[in-house]
Amino acid sequence: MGWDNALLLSLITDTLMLTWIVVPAVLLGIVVGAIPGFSAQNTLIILLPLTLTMDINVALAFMVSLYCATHLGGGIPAILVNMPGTGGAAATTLDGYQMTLKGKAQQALVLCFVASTVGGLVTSVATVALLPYLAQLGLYLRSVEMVAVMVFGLVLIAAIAADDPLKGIIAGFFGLMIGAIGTDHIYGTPRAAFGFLELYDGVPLVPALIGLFAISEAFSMMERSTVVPRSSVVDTKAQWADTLEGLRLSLKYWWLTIWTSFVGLLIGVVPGAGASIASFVAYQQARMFSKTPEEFGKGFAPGVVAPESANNGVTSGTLVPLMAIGVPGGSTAAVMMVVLQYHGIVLGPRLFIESPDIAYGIFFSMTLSYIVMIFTILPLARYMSQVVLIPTKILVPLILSLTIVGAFANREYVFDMGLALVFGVIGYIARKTNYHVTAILIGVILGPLFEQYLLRSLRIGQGDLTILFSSTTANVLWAFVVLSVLLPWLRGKQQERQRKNLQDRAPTALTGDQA
Amino acid sequence: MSVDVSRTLKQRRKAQLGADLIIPVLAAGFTLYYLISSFNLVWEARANGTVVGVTLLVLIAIQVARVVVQLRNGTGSLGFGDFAQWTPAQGQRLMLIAALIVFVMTIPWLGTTLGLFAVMLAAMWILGVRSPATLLGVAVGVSATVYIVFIVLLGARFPAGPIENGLAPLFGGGI
Repeated sequence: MGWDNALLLSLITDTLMLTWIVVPAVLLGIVVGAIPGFSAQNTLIILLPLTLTMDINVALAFMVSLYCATHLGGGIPAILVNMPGTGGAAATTLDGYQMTLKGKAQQALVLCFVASTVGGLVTSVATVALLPYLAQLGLYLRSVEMVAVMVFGLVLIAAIAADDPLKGIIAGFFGLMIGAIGTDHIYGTPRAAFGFLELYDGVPLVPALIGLFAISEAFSMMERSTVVPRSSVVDTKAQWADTLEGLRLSLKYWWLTIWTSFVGLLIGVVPGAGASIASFVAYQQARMFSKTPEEFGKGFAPGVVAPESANNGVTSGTLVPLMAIGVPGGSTAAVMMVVLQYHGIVLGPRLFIESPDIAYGIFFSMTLSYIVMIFTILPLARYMSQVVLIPTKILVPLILSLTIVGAFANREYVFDMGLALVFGVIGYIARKTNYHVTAILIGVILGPLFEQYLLRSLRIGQGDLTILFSSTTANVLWAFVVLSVLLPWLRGKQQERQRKNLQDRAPTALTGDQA
Repeated sequence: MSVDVSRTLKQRRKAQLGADLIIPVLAAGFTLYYLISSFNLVWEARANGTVVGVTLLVLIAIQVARVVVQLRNGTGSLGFGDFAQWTPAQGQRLMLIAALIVFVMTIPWLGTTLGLFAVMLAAMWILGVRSPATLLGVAVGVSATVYIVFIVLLGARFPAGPIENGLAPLFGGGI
């Protein structure tokens, strides 16, 4: 399974020849990634007539570079305005936005950029080397295991991100329920569509993303005059010293960057379990192995490094099942699949034998795009943190109007603009009452896939639910689900007991002193 | 007097549990609608909704039980907190929602560019911008950027109105 030197050399030279398309794709990707709702798949869909006319290698290089750059761009609004540009950047808000509130927006951005580019670069190089082996992993996860993986992902999000795990799990299952709207997979019968034809295909993800994150955040943001409190506005001014400090911190957490990017890579290989889950899993793992877990969520640098590195690690992983078994790992991969099929490329294990230039070339293009990103994004970091200084009375109308228009772009239904507004109101209420909006969104995203795998499992088990506990891998995952619920609860109880003990001791000590 | 003040402070300190129940009530309502409306369908069409819906209803029941316990302990009230208070921000938020609804309803006729211009103008006015230069500058800037980048350069098929159709012979992008 070694590398053919001639093929390797030709892949490297062919990829370098594509730099002309990679550079504009990276710049465009960073910009669209930074606009919540105007994500990679949206842009790729709008640009489909353009990519279909391109040569297949050029089209793939363009799409992959844009896709990777949006993952980096998505972290920018997550850090600056608590509004992830892409679902994968949702975990970045937890510490990234806290750093902005502390006046460390510039450092957070540099951490995000370095973690993203290094994480993406390392995993794309590793994927090229490990591709034939990685492709096997997806084959071990059948429908039963996939149901367990998805519940595990949702519960993790609730346990990690929400202040109240029960509220988080309710939010996640509410999302799954919303994701179940639309026609069923077998008979095409509409369910809970409120009589709207536009919902027969299910709840579109773009309006849900825009509403739950962008619009609800804008509604909350208008209670303040600027994105950050006035007291920290002076500190958020971009300085070269902050950029250098961000670089120093990035070097300090180099090992975290590497291993969390591999967490992203492994999760990305699992179809459906994309950047959103990977970034939260990486965040939780980073917190679990940290010497100071209590610092997470308060503007702690590793809280930015781990999710950003992981969501860029996913970019390589998500393409593995697409290339190796013909199953797109995410919505962007699905768009790429359309383009590949248009050009007559048959995806699957034989792709590596019949068209190695395409199968491996896509990962070489990815590597090149991350190298380009290193040189383009760092000089820009100084100026991007200035966004927080825009008064909210300008920023809120800007976010609301642009994102609502963005909701139209995907399916070209005015209905989707209204739907984004409805999700915006639900998201605002959820934010105000601590029902985690990310958990709702992940539920909506996973809903259709969850149904697909659940139904497949139930059909195999002839309607018997115990089929879900019939495999060892699934049972291990179910055990993790139970642990994910119980551990935070037990830890909370323990902390409560310790607090009570301290309170009980304090008056005794005081009485003793007085005596 | 001091008794009244301490009573008010105590009430303020209590968790506002009514607001905590908005999402569970919405979720439970939607779940029941889902289960009832799909009751007569084949089991394959009901299976997912039933598994997820029943789990959700159980979780909501636990949350309601927690609220009842807090109410009994006197640590919470059924108040709605910020939602029930009429603040200037609350008024602005409702006016913004109204403006956005009008925007969505009229965009098929006004088109993206004119619609964006109008909604930007209205939203900034609602949020307190009074400078004509800022109002016009930002609204024109945003709508023109969207028109040039998305409609003319990227060819996005956003709703077309008088501006898109009028400029279509020059730049394309109309109906």
